[in-house]
Amino acid sequence: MNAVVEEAIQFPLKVVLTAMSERRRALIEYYISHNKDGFYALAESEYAADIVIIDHDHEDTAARLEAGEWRPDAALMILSARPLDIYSATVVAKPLDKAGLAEAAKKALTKLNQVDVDSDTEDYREMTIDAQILPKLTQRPDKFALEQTSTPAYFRTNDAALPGPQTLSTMKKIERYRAKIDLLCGPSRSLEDLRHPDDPEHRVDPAKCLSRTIAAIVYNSDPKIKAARIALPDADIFILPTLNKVYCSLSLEYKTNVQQIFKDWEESDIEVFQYQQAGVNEVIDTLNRTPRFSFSAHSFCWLSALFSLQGRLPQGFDIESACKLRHWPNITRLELTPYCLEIVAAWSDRSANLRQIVELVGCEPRHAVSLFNAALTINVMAVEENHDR
Amino acid sequence: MTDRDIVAETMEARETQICKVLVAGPVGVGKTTAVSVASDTPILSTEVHPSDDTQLQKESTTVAMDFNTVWLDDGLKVHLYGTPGQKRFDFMWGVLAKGTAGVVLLADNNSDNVFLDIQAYLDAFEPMIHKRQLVVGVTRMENDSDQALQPYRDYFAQRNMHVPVLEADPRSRHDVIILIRASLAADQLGRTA
Repeated sequence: MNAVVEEAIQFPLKVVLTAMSERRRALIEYYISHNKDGFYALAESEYAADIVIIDHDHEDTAARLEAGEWRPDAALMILSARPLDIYSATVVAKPLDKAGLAEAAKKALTKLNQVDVDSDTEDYREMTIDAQILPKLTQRPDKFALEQTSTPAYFRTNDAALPGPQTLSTMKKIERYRAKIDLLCGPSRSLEDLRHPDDPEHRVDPAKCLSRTIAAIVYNSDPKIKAARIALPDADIFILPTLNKVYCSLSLEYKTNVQQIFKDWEESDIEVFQYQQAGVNEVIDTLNRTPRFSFSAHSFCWLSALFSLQGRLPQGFDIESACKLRHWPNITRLELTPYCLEIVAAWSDRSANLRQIVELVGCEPRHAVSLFNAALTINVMAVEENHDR
Repeated sequence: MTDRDIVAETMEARETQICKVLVAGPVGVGKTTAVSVASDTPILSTEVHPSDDTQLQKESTTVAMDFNTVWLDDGLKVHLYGTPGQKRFDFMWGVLAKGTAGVVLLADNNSDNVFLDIQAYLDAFEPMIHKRQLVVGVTRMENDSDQALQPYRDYFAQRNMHVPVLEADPRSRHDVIILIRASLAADQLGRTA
């Protein structure tokens, strides 16, 4: 047995699957979990992954790769039906089979071992420490990725100079995880900070939130409206409510894009165009001409609420108001925030205000606030009048 | 603090708790797949070639149980049991249900009898429903639409039952882990409170 194979068995490549259909993802996950040769293991998050696997033939993956969303280096594995001239990454030919995936694992491992150590000296030193401890951790999710257990990688920074996932030390993983949570839930806030209904720092005028515009189109538009386009100065968003689809011109995996799209807008900055059946062909033509990033409308509404409100409460909302979830949101298809399941369980079970939920779950106020905002946006949160005031 | 310190501290902080979670559902819904995909550890299975009509559906079927172990965050260890789907092995449901902290009921959205299937399991796992320990994962959903889950929500609402209903693909570890965690969430809250 050669050294590469030995190493592969001892330290399986921890992979994260992204930019591929749910069906392909499920097939590969199934292969990995049933794979006796032990070349691969599923990483709990991108932060714990050695390799990112993408499907070149899936929707807009090729365009995203071209746009530099993934670095074509040793930490990237590309599934493709056609030969690709990307020698620095590992290309796996379709149709996929066991032998091809095993061979790809060996190639990737060899490439990873050949990466120029000097380019990221500090990270690689720390990686050596990780590797000594990691075998014990392979069956235990990283504590610092705990709230995102098994959630596909979603967010990455826009800094191309950052090393790939395999070079990230534990400290960097923690930093990136915290950055992601900050983007989804905003900075830490106390309940006291959030108490004043019009505090401009901790409250936001709902009219300035793009999530409100999006939700109004997805959930409340006239059934005759088959498509809508939200035109922003540097981006546009197409919504097809009857097909439950949203197409965005920018990737939301970049922090700068998220901040650009979901900042506080004045109503005059946003233009909304609505199309009835007669205009749908024009919309589809536009979508076909330019690559877009697609989402389910429901999950996009949830995500847009997280990004737009950033842990702030809507102006005028009484923090003592009791709330209750009408039913569980479909959280297998929504972006998870810390303590998401526990907060949902608590708010499904009883009518409670924010303080009670924070105390019951033991989470930060911003975690409960973010879930409240997202649930309110997708119409599953009922707010009761506070009669004590 | 070095990486080694952080990892050591993390591991020390983990107090291992063990929970038992059951995966139930009709024949062919994906129970064995779900139990298998939830962890990298090999599944312990009692799959045999079926001797009845089940052979028309698939080549092997579970006759006693499937078993796997899954580590969740904060050191929570889950013993995951898959029940046999065939009615004639339903005596195993009660046996396996003892000491269960959560039940994941998989429902096949393509089945004509999906609500009859659900009803059969609701009768068997009624105590878990009252303790908020049952979650329903609806499989084979063709369009990724929240509205497609509404008939299931209505079904439980009409029976005054508080049951989480989530879309699920039993081949996806992400989905299976969320179903497991959802079934345990109420129990975990009880421990926190």
